[in-house]
Amino acid sequence: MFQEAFLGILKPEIIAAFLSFLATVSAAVAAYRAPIAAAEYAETLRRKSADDDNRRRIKLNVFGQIMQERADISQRDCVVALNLIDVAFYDAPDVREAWAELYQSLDSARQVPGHVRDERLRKLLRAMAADLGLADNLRLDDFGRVYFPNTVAEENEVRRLERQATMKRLSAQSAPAQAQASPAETVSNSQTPGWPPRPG
Amino acid sequence: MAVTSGFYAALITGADSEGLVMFVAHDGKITGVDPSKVLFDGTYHIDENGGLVGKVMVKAPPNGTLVQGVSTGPHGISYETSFTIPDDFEEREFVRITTPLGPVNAKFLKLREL
Repeated sequence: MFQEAFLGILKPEIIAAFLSFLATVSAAVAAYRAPIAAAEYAETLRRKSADDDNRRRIKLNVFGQIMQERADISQRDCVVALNLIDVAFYDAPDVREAWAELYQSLDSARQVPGHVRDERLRKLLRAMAADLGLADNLRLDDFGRVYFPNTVAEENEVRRLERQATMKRLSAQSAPAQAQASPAETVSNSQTPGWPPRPG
Repeated sequence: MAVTSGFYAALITGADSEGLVMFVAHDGKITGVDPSKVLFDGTYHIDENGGLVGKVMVKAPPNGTLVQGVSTGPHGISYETSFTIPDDFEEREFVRITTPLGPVNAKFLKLREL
């Protein structure tokens, strides 16, 4: 009886019906999954594109800041941008190498000539422009052409002098306070000569 | 007391500020430095009065201000100056030195004989 039932199942029309059922189910699953898979893939592409846009925007910001302050890279905003190079251009070894070379030349102890520093700065800007795809439109001379009028130079000099005067005033204010806090450390004036007077 | 080879200190006052220079004078050469890494290097001879007559090249690093009130700028500054330390420098209150960037008054102290 069992054998007869099994043989009954193997009839062609039943097998065909079963396979047709499987095909229908598969089609239904595919129809359900396809838009979801498409949406997920689109989201992945969108996210990657947004990340790429973000990275490029950060790189452009850093490049733009250094470019506009290249006449005097000791300005605060330019210093911030320089210190972001390793992060913003983490995937650009040429840029990071050029920054390392410029950084070495900024060490006053090495006494690197000014024209060498300028050349390394231009090299850094050129490497950043190449990484951003701007190098075809920018020449090395473009990085050396800087508009830095006397009015701006004077403004920077005034800020520097004001900063020095403020530091001097604050240092003078803290020195008497230290002397009062530690009277036991006072040295006898008869043993230590004072400073000469200011030249007239 | 005549000026002889040895280790010296100089308390220097310019138009803007004061500074301390440590230097060595020996065998006709004189070299020194101050806390701001301003370097002094040159030569000297002893004159007929026992005073030390010297000429040094002064090299200052960038982004600083010398005691004369002159900014060293973004590239540093170098200049040459002559000076004389008289034989009675220890009795004098100070010695005036005229540099290309302005005058300074210096009190010299001898620290150790060489």
